[in-house]
Amino acid sequence: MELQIKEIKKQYGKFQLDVTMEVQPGQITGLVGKNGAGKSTTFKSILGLIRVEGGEILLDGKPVTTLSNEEKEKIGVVLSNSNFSGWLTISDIVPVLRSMYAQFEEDFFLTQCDKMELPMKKPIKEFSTGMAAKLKVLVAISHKAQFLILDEPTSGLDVMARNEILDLLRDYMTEDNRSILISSHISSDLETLCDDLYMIDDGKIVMHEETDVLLADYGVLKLSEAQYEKIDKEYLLKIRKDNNTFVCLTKEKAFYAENYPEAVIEKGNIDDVFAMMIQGEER
Amino acid sequence: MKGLLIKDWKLLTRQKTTLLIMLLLLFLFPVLEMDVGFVVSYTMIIILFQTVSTVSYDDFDNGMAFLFALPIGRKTYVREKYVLGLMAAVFGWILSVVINVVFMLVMSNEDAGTIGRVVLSLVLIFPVMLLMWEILLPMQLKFGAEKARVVMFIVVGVGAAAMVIGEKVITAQQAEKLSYMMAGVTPSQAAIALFALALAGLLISYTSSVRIMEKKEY
Repeated sequence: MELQIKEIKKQYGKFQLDVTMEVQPGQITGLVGKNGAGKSTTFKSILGLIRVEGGEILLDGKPVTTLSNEEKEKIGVVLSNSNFSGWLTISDIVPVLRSMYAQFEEDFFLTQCDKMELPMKKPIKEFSTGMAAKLKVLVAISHKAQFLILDEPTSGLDVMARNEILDLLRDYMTEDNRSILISSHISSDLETLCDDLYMIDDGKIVMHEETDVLLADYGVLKLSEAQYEKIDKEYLLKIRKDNNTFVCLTKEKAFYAENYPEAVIEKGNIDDVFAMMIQGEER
Repeated sequence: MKGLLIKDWKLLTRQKTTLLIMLLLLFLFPVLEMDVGFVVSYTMIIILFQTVSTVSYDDFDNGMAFLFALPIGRKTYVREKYVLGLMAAVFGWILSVVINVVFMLVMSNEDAGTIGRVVLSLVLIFPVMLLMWEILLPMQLKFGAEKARVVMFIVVGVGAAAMVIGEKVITAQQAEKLSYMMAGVTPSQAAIALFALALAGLLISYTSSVRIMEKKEY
């Protein structure tokens, strides 16, 4: 499935969301941003939980506001701060899911619950953060959804549990035409999982790049004042001055490595690139 | 809709203590020779309040956002709450009336005619309780659990007052007297009027609830 978000707008006091992005069929797209940057607002807009004041959101070409319940069954959702009522148990929600989703995979769901040692008879409000996170992801992937919308699905999980969830998502993607839109504040999750990444800051998309390109071609140069004066600045995207050091973000790491072997060039990772994109100044 | 009904059934059956106390009282009231009208009203209030409280359970920890991210429309959600309430009201009425009738037959050896008249007077309680619930449900949806509690107190107060007044109005003789006073309005016509009022209330209440839910953002 394909998701297109075209110039959606939403105002909350001084905060203005203004987002354009898309998720291609068969792709995992990540949305990175600090708290309050607009990630959850974007997710809520897609799900119709809030009304946007402009723009449109299309799922396979159809406005999301007009999706029927049958079409909504094709979407699996994890919201960062919301789950089934905490008074229910997993045993309670199984028949609910069975009636709600025509293609609910009960055996898969129960097997995974057992594998992840989730208690069947305990109210969800008594679950640990990790247990609740696992349950949310399992609910999202257990009804043959074609599109997953995952807001911070690995939040609060330890490394082992996070890897379990990420493996589930990779397995989920082995079937054709499935897509995922995911946000996370753990960059390593996104680096290993996503095909492309959007960075959002203060309600605006500040960058969109394929993950491979970001990891291979982006780099952070650390230059003295003298080095900075001499260097070719054509491929520098952002510059920040830390004391006497010029920290520069480039998309042409190889060019600088070849032509300026004396310069300190660090491999780009999501956190560094993101920090530079929002803190650095234009060349 | 079915999924939501199952969910609410599961939520309601979690309130084991409340339900158990209600059942115990239902059997205790006739033994204590409590007024049948009071018992039926009480049972309906408790049961209807329980169904309305499922909205709070849905809302717990921002759960409403998750519910509406599932294949559930806002209108479906509202419709389910009304279906649940109506089912519970019918169940509560029948349960309390049956228990009382059985007690009347076994303990008091009342004749069928008297029991019939009592049951007919109890029919009038149904639309009155329904009207209360029709006010309460949209309030709960609009204001949420915290503020709705205040509204609940007011509604209970109004309901109790209505019950006291209703009790006086609907005793067989007085209903008859009143009917003469109201230029030939019979108890059955009064019942029809009350049911018509409850039905009109239901339509207004449902429409308001749908509007409230469709405006909400999560």
